[in-house]
Amino acid sequence: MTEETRSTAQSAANWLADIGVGTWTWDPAAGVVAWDPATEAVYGLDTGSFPGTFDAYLNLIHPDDRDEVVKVIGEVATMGGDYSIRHRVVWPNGVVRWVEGQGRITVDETGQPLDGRGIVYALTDRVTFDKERAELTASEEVARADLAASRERLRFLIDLTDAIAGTLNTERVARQFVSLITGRLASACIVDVQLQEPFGHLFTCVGHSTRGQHVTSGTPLTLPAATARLGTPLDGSGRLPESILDVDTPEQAKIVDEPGAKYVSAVPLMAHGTRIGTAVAVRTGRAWSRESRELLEAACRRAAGAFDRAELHADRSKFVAMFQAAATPRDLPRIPGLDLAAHYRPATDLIRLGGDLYDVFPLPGGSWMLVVGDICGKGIVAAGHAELARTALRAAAVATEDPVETLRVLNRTLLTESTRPMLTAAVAKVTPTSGQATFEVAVAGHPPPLLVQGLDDWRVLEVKGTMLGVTEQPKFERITHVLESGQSVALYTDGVTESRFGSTFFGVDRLGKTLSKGWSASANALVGDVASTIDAWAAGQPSDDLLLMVARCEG
Amino acid sequence: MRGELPAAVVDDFVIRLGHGDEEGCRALVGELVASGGQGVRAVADDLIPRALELVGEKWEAAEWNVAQEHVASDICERIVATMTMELTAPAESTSAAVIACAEGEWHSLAAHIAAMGLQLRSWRPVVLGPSVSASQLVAAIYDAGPELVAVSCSLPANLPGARRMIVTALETGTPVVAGGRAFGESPDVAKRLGASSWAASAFDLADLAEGLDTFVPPLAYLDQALHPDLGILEAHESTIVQELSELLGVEHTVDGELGAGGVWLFRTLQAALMCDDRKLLERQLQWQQGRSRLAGALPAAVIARALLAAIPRSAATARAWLDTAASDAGVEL
Repeated sequence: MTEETRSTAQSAANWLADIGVGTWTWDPAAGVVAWDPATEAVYGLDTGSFPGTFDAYLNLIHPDDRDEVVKVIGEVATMGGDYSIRHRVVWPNGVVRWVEGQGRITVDETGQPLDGRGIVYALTDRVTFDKERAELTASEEVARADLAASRERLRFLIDLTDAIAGTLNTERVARQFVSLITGRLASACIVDVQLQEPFGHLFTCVGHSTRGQHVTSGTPLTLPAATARLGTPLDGSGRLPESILDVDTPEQAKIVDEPGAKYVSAVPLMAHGTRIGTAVAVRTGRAWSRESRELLEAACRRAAGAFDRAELHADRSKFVAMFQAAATPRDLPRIPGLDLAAHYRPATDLIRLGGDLYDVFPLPGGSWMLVVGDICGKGIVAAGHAELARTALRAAAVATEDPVETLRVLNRTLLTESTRPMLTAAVAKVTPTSGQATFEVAVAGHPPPLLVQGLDDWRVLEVKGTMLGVTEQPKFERITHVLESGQSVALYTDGVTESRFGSTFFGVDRLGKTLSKGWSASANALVGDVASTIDAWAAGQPSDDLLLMVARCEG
Repeated sequence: MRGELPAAVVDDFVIRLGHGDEEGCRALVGELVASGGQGVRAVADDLIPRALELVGEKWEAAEWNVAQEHVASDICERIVATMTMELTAPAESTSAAVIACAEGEWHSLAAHIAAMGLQLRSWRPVVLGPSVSASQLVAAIYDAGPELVAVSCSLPANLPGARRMIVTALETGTPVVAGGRAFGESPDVAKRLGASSWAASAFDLADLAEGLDTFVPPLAYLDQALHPDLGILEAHESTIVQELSELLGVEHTVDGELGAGGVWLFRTLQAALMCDDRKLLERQLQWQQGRSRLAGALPAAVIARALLAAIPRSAATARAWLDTAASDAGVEL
């Protein structure tokens, strides 16, 4: 190296030092590491204070980065070549800085290092970068937490909706609601449901996350009583007014003198603009955030809708029950010498209003009338017609005491009705005498009765007649049979014989076989047999209204 | 309680049942009830269930005919009805429990015994008649607003129906207790089918009822580790039954009375998969084999072959089970 190049190299090193880049050399043979003042400055050392050993260099590196540095330099020191590495250094005063080092090590053919040299500079930008990264990480954590909270809120609303969607019972809605609130949103909850007249107050459901639930129906629960149920006398301080169960808009309250402050949130339950009750949720030691209040209010809106639907259903049920009771006798009367049973299953289970009717009642002369009928049409209109027909038929039967005359009178009555009800019917007058029963039957467009005389011994009691409510000149026949002891007669609607398995009808034949196979059993067992056989036959498929009445002479 | 009465008493009762001697049966029951505080329980929880098990065995062994079996269960039902009537009627305001027999299940006595136990403990039981459909159950739940629904099932073939009812009740947010012989001797099957709880005894339903968790988690959380082949069988149910009726004829497919038809075997196959118990299928095949000696029934092999032909190939486990169960039952396919 000439003097001139030496001087150029020196000025380059000076210039590098000016911009904070230090240079170093390593003489493996002598075991000496030489740092210029700029390198010492990067490592936070005073000029000339670096001891000049590899170990001294390693000691300045941040403990977490040391292994990586040893690994990278170690590799280059055996293979030869260039390296570049970023790591932290710990200044003697404890300050941590990022630096970048680049170097080259030459080795001989046996892998022994011959010479090493390189540069090192401070990564001042890195400090800013780390700070920004820390901020980003923090905000990402916040976003994650927000997302998790949103998911939890969504999950809560989905669960609440699912938990109350299938129920049409106000108390179950309240129980499910209170369970979810006390499980996820608050430690205690009171749901007080009051409905408009004529329903009046309905019930109060209180629940606690660890103390379980309690429902009081019929009378309103006062706030002290409700909170006593919870085991936490919320109003002990007098600061929680009774009116908290009567709020018109969402309200908050805090009770401080309890062990662990209690935060109360009250929300009115509103259905179509009317307040039907209140939900009060209590948190212990945890205030209601805006989000949690919104969630509670959303839950209350859903619950209020469910209460309203349940109440509408209850109302409809009463209505249906009234119709149902009117259309079918609750219990069949006990008739001496006659074992009687009926099975009726309306086609539409949910409304349970069918177009079939049956009735059994005494006649003034001591005989009994058995009636089975089938109204044309379905649902509430058919049920109304069934009730009309049953009443008119009773009146006609009591007046005439004769099956054919009863049908005639009923036909005339129906023709005068503006809604033109039409029906088919079988009417049987039964007169039990000692050991026998005289059975006199007429039908109107209806399947004729079956007579069961013994095991596999049955036949149709052939009789015909015109459907009711159609013509002013109906034709009716009558057939009389004296039932011996043990014999039965079955009256039924075509729902029985027209039950289908695929496209095959159950039919009169199978009905007769089923009845005659179990002929010696009670009337109740016989109708049960037919019902179970048809059940197996229809294999769970929806059927029409199904009505079967069996009268067995007991002798 | 079960098993406390001497066998001789139960045998005596069964003999009276066999003769259709209702008066004699009532007299025996009257003595037991009069004998002390546990009398009602002795009748409802011991005498009648044990007697009916014996009656069932006699019917299965063809010692008794259908009519005798009918008469016996009729007498027991009337006795239970009378005993229930003599209990204090529950107030309208007390907690209601709806008790239903599984779809297809015609043995309703257990339901009435459960009702009696509940009524003794001041519940208001609502007993739905035998073989209740899922939609009838919903209607009853909507009307009665019960605290719990109890589903009774004695024949494994009716477990698919029981499962439909359990799920239906859960949908309405009502806890379901399952019980009856078909659920076996542990809570496993009941849990598998989604029930909230399992009752070991009908009479003791009230014990369970009082400790039942009132909250019903949404169905999405229902952990039903059911075999995937069940889904295939359910999806193809109508075509399977249709094919069975083409192969066997309608009567031998339905055959509600003999309990030996194609549908019975199909339902038992579903039940076996639900319970993860191939033995159920084996026992049903053995039973159908026995039935085939009776007039009018088909050999079990014919029914099993038809079912195997009707089940889609994709339900590989179901097919394999049917095959193995048949060979274990000594039914040659």
